[in-house]
Amino acid sequence: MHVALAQLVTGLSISAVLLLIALGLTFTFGQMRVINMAHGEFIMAGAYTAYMLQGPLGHQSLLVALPAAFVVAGAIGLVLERLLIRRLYGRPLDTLLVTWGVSLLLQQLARDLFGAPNVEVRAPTWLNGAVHVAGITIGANRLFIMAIVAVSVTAIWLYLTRSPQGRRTRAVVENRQLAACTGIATTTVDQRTFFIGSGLAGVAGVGITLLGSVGPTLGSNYLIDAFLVVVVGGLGQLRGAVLAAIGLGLLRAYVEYWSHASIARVVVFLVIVAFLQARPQGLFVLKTRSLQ
Amino acid sequence: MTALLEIEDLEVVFDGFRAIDHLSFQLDEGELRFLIGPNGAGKTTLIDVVTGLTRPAGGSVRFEGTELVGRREHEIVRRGVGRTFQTATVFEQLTVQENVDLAATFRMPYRSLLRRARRPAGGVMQALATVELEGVADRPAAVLSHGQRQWLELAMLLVQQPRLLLLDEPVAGMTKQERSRTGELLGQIAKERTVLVVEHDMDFLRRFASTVTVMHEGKILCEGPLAEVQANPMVQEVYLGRSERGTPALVGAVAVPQDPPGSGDAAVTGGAQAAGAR
Repeated sequence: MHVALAQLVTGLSISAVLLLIALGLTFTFGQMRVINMAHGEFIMAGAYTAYMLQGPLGHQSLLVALPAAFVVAGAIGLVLERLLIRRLYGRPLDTLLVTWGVSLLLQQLARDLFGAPNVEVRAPTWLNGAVHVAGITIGANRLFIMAIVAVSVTAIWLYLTRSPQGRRTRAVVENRQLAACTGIATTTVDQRTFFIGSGLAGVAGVGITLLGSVGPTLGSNYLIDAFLVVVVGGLGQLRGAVLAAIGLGLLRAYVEYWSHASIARVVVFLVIVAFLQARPQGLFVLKTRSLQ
Repeated sequence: MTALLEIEDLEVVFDGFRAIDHLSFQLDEGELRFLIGPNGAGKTTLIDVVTGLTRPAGGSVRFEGTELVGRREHEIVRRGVGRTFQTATVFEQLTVQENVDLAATFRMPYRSLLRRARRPAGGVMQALATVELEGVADRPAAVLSHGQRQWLELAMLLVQQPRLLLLDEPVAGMTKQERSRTGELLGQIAKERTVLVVEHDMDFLRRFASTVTVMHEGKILCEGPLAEVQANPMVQEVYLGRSERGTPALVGAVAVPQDPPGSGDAAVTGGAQAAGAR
């Protein structure tokens, strides 16, 4: 019983990380259908933002790094959208190849700027401890990541359902032509959506610095997991991404306990393959007419 | 009288197929005009060009003297040209009220949008009342019947106060009662605005003593009062072809080939089909 409970907490902790890195993709891939292979590098940019800020700002810099990384990664995303991606809308294969090239460029840029060896981001001291509840130990850093995820999901949900801008985003996703003919400036909405999605990747990057060191390929290690969460959840479906992340995280945690990490990954991939065979559209479906 | 909409020598080509062929057309301020023609005549394409969805290969479209060709869709809407779609298109994920609200805030700057995020914009409830949809304001638009969707589209247009309305088959697929209700609505709307209606339904056309323009194969075939157009042998030829069904008048012929909802795109791209071949 105790083991089951402990693995539940471990699983939720994995889920939180999965969801954190997938949140940005629910915007750029889920809402806009852009397969952005450079998304991982936005995560990396967020992580390096945290690294850069700890010098001048010291121990509590992580709290400043969260919004700063959002802006930095968002700005990089916006530049990428303006320069390249908007010219490739409706051409997924070309987008994939071009953004993969951008991903390699950004990784090399990070190597030139920060050096090839990994760097460490020191967490604030209050994140070094652990919390003990009912005989279960959970790291404060893991709890903090869960908190970031909870706040981000709530903020995204409020944005999409309550704000006029979010409503416009949903309108453009559902029917681009109708939205344009209703007077919505669809390119402005695209830019904003891409900015938010990229910015969330930056936030994820800051969160991930709590789990290990930061290197140029940090983001690409997480990219596949992020895409899987969005695909399993159903494109453009926030609740789908949340459920998918929880399901995959728990699955990995329990299988890991009974076997080991590599087997757990294989099992998770097999389950995803089987699931997508039965339900290629993911957990939830967004009905749309026009996807350009 | 001054022309509100002036189309000159317009040409639209889809993959070598000439959907609109050197067409010129004028619509005067305050006019209610009907546009008819067989499937593939280019009626919807014409609306698409005016609203910026389709780029013409040549020619000009002037609204209040301003060139519309080359402008983005939302700029054209903000200048006062509103349209509906053939297939009764609304945002199904949003509620009925959110749909109208979205349309109502189409000109508002960013800051005022943030301030009034929760309250519906002015005129929204009134527009909903006009089309008798206040009762379902908080339901998702996906639950609406086909007729109600058409009315919701109208409400979304009305709340924007456009100077020119382009309605693409506003009574297609409607029941008899719904049609007559739409007729009343259109009567009200046309009092204050310039309206161009694509419609095949002859009973519906007869309610309004207005000018009818007949399109065929991307060109204007003729223009005039309904009775005159109906009597025109060229128009009969276009609608009947060399039919051996022996349908005597346009009335019968036009009432039959109503496009089912959803055939809009097919009508544009597959437009090479001969009139009367169905």
